[in-house]
Amino acid sequence: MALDGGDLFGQRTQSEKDQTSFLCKETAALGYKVFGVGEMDLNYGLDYLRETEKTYGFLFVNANVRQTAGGPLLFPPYTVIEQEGLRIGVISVLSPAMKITTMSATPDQFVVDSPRDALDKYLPELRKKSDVVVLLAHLSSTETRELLVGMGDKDGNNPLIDICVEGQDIRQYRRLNKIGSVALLAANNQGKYVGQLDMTVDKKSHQIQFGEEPVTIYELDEKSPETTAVRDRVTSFEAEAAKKAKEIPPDTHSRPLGSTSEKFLGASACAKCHSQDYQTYASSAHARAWQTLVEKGQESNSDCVGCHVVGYNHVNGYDRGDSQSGRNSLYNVQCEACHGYGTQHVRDGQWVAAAKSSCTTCHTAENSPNFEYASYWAKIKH
Amino acid sequence: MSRESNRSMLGRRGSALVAALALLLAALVVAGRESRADQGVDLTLLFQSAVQGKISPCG
Repeated sequence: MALDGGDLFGQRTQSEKDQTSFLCKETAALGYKVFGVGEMDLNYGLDYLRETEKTYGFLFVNANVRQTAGGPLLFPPYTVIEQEGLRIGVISVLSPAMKITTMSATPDQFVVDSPRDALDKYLPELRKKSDVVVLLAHLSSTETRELLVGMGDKDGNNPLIDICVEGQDIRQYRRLNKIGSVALLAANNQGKYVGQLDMTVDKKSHQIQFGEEPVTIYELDEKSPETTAVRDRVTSFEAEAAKKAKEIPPDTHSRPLGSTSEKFLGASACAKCHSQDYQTYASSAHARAWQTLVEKGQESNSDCVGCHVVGYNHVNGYDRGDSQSGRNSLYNVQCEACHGYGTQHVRDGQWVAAAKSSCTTCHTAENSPNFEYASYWAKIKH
Repeated sequence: MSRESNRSMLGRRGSALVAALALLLAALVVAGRESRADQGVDLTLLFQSAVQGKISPCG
């Protein structure tokens, strides 16, 4: 039995939509059928989600999302799966704190009810139909723990929920957590983890027994095995995605930061007064950042380019199509990637402070897990 | 990005999906095993959430 706690779909861009389509196909091939609804799963609109369900035989369940207040639920609140002669009830709720925005032509509107009200309504009937009840909680960790209070009998005799898979926060529980008698599980973060829970269910009482270490979290790093067929399909997808990215006209992405009255001048302008500092930059990894993208064929990938150029999200920042004003030469992590617009240099007095706080924009835990300011600063000290 | 972070991205992010798919295939075989005892039914639940992320390493 394999369950997904939600956020199968990606961000609201065409490239991520294409990736979502690929991932859905692969997920279906693995046998996943039942999904909780995450706010991301509505990013491409309800029609896209419905089409995906139809194409891959998926079933999204959710007990608290509606199109209008008081209107019907958008999904079945729960489902019951037959497994090994047992009835496994699966119900899901979404956090009302999550904002749902779609990229469909006529944006859908959604109302998210209180998860507790939804569970109070549907859990009693699901319990009667099930031997084991699993909640897919697409909630924050705090919300999940608050919600589970009172859902599991202290002695495990009459619990409303037996198992809860937490779906929103980036975390993994490597040991069996219990809230009352409810087993709380999590294996989230970009498909890098898969969780496994082993249990024995009594045939008559349906009480669940766990061994000493019933939870296994598989960390899917470079040591994990790969299958050739899947590797080939991923390679093929990557090639197609790279081809599509190159066909996108330059400078069509949004630039939410900066000002039309400011300009990036380029590292050569800085070098006129700061030659020593420029030399430090020129011999650093920052000056080779673009080449690393080229070597991976990712120089057109909008998810990557931002951390390898100057001002990708700023007005008047890097634009591969603009050779006239030189914005196409703003590649690599040049001075202004950290310090900001050169035209602001003299006026705002924030030159050093702004740079110091800028590192973690790109040196995130995801991209740069070993980042630590002092030792990294030593590499580019100037 | 530093060479170190590039290696990390390759390992931690770049190959994550591929590895996930491969491992899941293997794990699913385990999931449907027979009952162990007369009184009890052995069940294995595989779970995941928030699987979306970059498939390819940036650089």
